[in-house]
Amino acid sequence: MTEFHSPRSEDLSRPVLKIEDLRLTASQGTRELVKGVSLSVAPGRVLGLVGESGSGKSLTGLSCLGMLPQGIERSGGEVLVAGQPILDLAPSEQRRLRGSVVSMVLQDPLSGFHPMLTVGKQIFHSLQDHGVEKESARARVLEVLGQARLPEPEKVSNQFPHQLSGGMRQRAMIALALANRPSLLIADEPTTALDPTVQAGVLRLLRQLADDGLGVLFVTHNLGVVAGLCDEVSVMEHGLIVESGDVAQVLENPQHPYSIELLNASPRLSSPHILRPPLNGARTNEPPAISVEGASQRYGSRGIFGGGAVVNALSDISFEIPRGSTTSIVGESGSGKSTLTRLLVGLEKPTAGRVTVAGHDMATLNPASEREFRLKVQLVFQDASRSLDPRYTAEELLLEALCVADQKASQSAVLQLCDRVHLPRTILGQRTTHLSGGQRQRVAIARALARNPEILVADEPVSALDVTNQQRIMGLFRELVEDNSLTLIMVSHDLALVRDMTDTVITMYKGRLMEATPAEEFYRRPRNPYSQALLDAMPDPSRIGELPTVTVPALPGRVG
Amino acid sequence: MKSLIPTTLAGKVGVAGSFICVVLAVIGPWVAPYDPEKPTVDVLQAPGFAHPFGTDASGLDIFSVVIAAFRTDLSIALLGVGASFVLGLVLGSISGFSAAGGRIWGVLARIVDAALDVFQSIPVTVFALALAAIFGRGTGAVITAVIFVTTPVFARLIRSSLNSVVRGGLVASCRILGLGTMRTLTRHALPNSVDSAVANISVSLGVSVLLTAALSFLGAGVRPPTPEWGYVISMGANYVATGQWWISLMPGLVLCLSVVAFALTGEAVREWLAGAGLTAAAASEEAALSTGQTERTP
Repeated sequence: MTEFHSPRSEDLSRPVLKIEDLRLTASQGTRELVKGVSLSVAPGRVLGLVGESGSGKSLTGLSCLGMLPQGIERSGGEVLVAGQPILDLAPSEQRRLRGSVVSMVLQDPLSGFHPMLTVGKQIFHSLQDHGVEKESARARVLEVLGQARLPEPEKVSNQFPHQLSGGMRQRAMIALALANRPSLLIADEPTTALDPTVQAGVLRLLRQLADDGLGVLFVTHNLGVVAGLCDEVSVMEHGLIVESGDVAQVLENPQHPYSIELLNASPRLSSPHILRPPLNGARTNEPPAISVEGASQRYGSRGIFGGGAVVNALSDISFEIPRGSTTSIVGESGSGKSTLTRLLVGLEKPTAGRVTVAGHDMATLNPASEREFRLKVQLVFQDASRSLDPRYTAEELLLEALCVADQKASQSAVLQLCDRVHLPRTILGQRTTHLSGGQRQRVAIARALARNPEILVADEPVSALDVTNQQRIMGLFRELVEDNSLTLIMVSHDLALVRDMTDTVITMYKGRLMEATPAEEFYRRPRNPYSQALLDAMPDPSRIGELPTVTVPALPGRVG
Repeated sequence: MKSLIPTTLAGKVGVAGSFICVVLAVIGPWVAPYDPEKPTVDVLQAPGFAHPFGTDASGLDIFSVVIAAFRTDLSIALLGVGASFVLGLVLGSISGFSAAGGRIWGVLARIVDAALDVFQSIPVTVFALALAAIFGRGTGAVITAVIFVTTPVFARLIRSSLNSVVRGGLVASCRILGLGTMRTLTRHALPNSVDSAVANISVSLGVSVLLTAALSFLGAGVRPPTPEWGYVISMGANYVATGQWWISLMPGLVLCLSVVAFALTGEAVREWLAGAGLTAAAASEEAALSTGQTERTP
């Protein structure tokens, strides 16, 4: 492998990034967002900057590129990138540094790419901007794509960003960021939107780049990722760094209460958690809550001209879920778990097979029976900000949900509902756009619970939240399962998160059911190689310096 | 609550202009110095102290006619655009919400889509001339023409916003909750879809004023002697060559300024609605921030 980054003349011990007492304020200096942050990144080292959303970690990252958002100003301190105070430089000087000395990778690579230019062209442009000759720029495009471990660099170079898969896109983004041989990379949650197996690959790539001499500031909320990738870690809370040090030291022996809280909130696979006893509360003697027999779902044109591409989103799925049990459906994006959810709640009808939920056959659901069905089966969406009407207050939304079952629902019922999901009553008068992500998701859950459904399906209910909020919402689900006869189906890509509250794990891969196994058995030793790959890819804060492996087997046969 | 005063200069000018138009429409005929329908003894006078905008061949005071015409033109515009908005709301809902409705809804949506296409492909002036030929010229024909032109725009705006709301998950969540289709539409989907159509009201008022004048100019508009800008402009057209420019120019200028004022108001309304933070459009400024290549965006 060619050397990714040729260390400049400076010696390796000198930090590529040094932030000294950085202070950032918003709205004309009334609110301090970053309150004196100091950190440094040496060449070849990866520093993890960890904190909840709103802690100021992303702002700190942006300031390293001299790109503070509008309305945010520096009120003190210094950011030295390769010895240069980037925030004090003229815009043209800043531009020269960006790309060639410091570069950035964002969570969503689509937003960083121009949608109408090929990947190769964009890397080419960025090289030309920094004065690279045409011929050598062309060669460099392919070189850098190869270095980002993209298979077939020539092909990728001629593709448009939307044609690449999420993981490939993020690799292309990294290639673009590294085209001009920067010595510092700012990575802001670069793997948060990726599947665990894909994430593992990107993390490995970043580690290799760092080993070749690149300095990386890795902004994340995931301590599992930090454990695997980073050399050092700084924990940030409310604009302050509360603890920093070696990864091993901080993660194994955290000192600050906030670090401890974060670490406790991080789900892990390896710790000796108490698993739910198998089929706790499930009533196996009653007819199952959900029974799926040979269900398939295909999308595609069946018009007069036919011949369109047909996608088999689900092929021949069968399983049963007993009443009162908790089931997790896991798999990567594109595995068909969302399609399965839509079938279970009656938003779609299967093209083949039978889906029976709460005694209703989904294929024969008509407006009259649908009304009855809706009282029994509810869904919590992944992103509450998209499923809640921004024009109504939390109270109005809850009241609306209550009124579906009972026209004369009262104020006191709203308050009860509010308490049940641990929402502070004070937020009832506010529009959901003014609520935090965790509070919004609670409103969504409360709406789903308003009619005391028999079955609750939750589609990635916490993936839009940060760790502490994730734990709180999962705690709420746990309570609901324990004191109720609720049948809970949880769709997730995070195996660690659902670990200690699930009875059965259903693994999906490319529209097929891989296995449906009792949780205890699944987490100890899954029967299916794909499930094993999923488990291996999960980042875990207790595996320090150990990057998750990426061995996705070719579509294995069905087991179980 | 967000301030109602526009932030941009263009917005302020537009809103002020539109406000003056509306005030003149209400009080115009009373403040006009002469009777807009009765000729004075001064014939073809250039603009001066007695007649600020001059007089025409029959001795009508142009200033009085122009001021009085605000009421004619604006009431046609308000009636026509008001009806279009309501009609557009209904048609746009049928067309845009079909994905969430039943089978009959889908059939209705197809009919509406086809009808809108047909309407938009007929040239409006030809249509209005035909109307005038069949039913005789008059206010009714003009209002019908205005409705004919502006309804498809409202319907399509509603339709496209509704479509994105339906795709956004809000409608699915209402369905899961067990809300009826009509309640979902009227309480949730429509209120989140009307912004662009509301902003278009002001723009359509301008379009309507222009159309009213154009039809009068062609002789298919309101019946004289009702004071109307387009009619005065067409009368004056004969005198431009002989040097009496003010007859056409003065009403033309007022017409032009009011259309601009309405257009600017539309833009200000659009900005106000977008800034009111009701539509959950998250600012994605970070989108522009990337690596070294941000500056080169063709």
